[in-house]
Amino acid sequence: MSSALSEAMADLNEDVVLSEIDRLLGNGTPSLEIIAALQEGMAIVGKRFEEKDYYLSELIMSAEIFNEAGKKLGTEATDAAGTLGTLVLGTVHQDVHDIGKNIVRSVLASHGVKVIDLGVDVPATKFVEAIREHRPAAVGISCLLTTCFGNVKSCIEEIEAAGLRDGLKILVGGGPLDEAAGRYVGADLVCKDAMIAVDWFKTRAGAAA
Amino acid sequence: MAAPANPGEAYGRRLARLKAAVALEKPDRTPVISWSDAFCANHIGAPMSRFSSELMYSAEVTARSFELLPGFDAAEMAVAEPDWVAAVFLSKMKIAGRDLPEGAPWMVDEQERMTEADYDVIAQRGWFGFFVPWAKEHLGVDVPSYVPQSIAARMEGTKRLAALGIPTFTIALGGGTPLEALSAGRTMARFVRDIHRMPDRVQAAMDATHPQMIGIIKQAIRESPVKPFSVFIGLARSSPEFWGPKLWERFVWPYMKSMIEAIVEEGVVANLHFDSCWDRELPRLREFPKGSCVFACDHATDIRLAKKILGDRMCIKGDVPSALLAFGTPDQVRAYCKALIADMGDGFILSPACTMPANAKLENVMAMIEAVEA
Ligand code: B12
Repeated sequence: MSSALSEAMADLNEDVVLSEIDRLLGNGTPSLEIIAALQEGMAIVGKRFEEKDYYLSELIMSAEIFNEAGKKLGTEATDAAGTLGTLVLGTVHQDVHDIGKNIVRSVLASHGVKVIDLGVDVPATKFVEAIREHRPAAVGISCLLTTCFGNVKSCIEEIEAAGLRDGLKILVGGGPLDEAAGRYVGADLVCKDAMIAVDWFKTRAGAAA
Repeated sequence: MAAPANPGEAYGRRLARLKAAVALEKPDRTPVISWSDAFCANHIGAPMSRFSSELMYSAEVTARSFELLPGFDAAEMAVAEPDWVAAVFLSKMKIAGRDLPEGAPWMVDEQERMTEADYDVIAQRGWFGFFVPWAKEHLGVDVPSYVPQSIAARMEGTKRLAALGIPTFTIALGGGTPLEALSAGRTMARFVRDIHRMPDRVQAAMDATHPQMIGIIKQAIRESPVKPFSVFIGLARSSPEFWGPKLWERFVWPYMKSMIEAIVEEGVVANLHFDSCWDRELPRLREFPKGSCVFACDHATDIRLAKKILGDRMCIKGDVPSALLAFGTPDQVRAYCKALIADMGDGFILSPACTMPANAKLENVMAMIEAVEA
């Protein structure tokens, strides 16, 4: 495993990350090993965030670099790295806030979850289609507007009506979405941050192992 | 409901209450105000399409909503200007009737519309040299014809409210930091990357923008026929929640500091409408003259911590949570407000966190208003 790569990732040094990946690919290092090194760097980013050395902008920057690196390695490799399971993620219909959702995407991806990101203003039918197609372990719905709590509720109802609710964990999150709102919309878990979802995926994998 | 028998007297009483709170003196009771935008349309049953697209109509609807809620001591803003709000974020707005079905709340359509090269254009031509032609080309907004319409609607809204005895608390003249517009025009993710990859180019654009913004705001305050009570400085992505101390010191603080100072110099209150969590940098806000600012927080900042750190320097405004107003019960709202009023003491204005949610329950709004009565 390349510690230079992990370190550059942790230090948010994009140029070094990308050139190091080229070097490793050049000498035949398997993609999965490269991803593991990147994930190790991302774990350090997460730790620095918790210790308040890093702030949201550093999390966003790490996501950008991780995405760029992912492009070099190809979807096949990044998908294969999603060993903890799949999450279908999106911001609910009529809501466009995506800063938090994008952080969730990269934090989960860097912890080994395969994330299918549907974007913002996502209608329930799109969630349903994506669940049918990808058979995820969980769905993540981001919502920051009280006017859209109803849309989260009806989205979950449509997932249920489509017969897809069994065995599917529904995670919700977003600034004003509190526990009471979580009960109102019918979610399984309200996530104040991305790590709560990571923990859920890890516990689940642990239980299955 | 008819206008009060003596609107002038009611206006004076409310204004005195607000002034006392801002001056950190003892008002006769805690003032309660609201920035109600889309809520007003829902409240009086006005079509969202017209409310979102016709400035004069939004002024009329806003005044009618406040007329029905005479317990408020002020309307934070007198009109709703969704297209303009989006334009200053270098974005388009999707609105009911035009881009969305009737009744739908407006949605900011944020995309990577501004390019990397635009930083250099801004650095060379200044903000307006960039923004005016850019807004026309990319957003279809004709700034020279929009601005006079907007001013006329704000005057109309303020007049309508005054006729009901209700002061208008603030006016938005574009006060903020350059970071707010640039991070929206580039999208947050791109902007963060720019800050890491080309900090000097970003700063050059900021440095070319900021003095012009300050100049135009000072001019607008001087030319305004009625001196505004406060000038709005809206910051969200400038919050310390997003930036570590080093980046914040460079890309936020110098700009926000000089903007606040410029407004205070003109003899009006700076309305620090600061969304997201500001806990870390609260001590910095002590630098401004006592009684010259209002710190308005959105429930992400710890409002009681703000009181502890800033309470002897500036009035604090906030922070009834959106979810509580939309989904709580009147008892819960009352309990929240009563506890807040007791803890905050003088130098406090009760208001929703940021804006009144479009779907706030009327009985909850009433409970909030009634909470200020002994
Ligand atoms: C930035 C911002 C905007 C930007 C959004 C830019 C963007 N591309 O996202 C812009 C300017 C476009 C915007 C617009 C509006 N906004 Co806004 N906005 C905010 C603000 C200040 C910060 C949001 C943010 O990015 N936070 C940082 C991120 C990292 O936090 P987060 O999103 O909460 O996500 C974290 C966790 O919650 C969690 N999480 C979130 N989702 C999920 C999902 C899953 C599955 C998991 C596991 C975890 C998780 O993990 C994330 C990482 O830790 C908030 C205020 C606030 N303090 O939240 C208001 C806020 C959300 N906005 C609000 C409003 C009202 C609006 C507007 C209607 C304003 C208006 N009057 O015109 C429009 C509506 C646009 C629309 N239809 O969607 C209100 C909503 C309250 C309400 N009434 O419902 C807020 C709360 C402000 C307030 N107190 O009034 N806004």
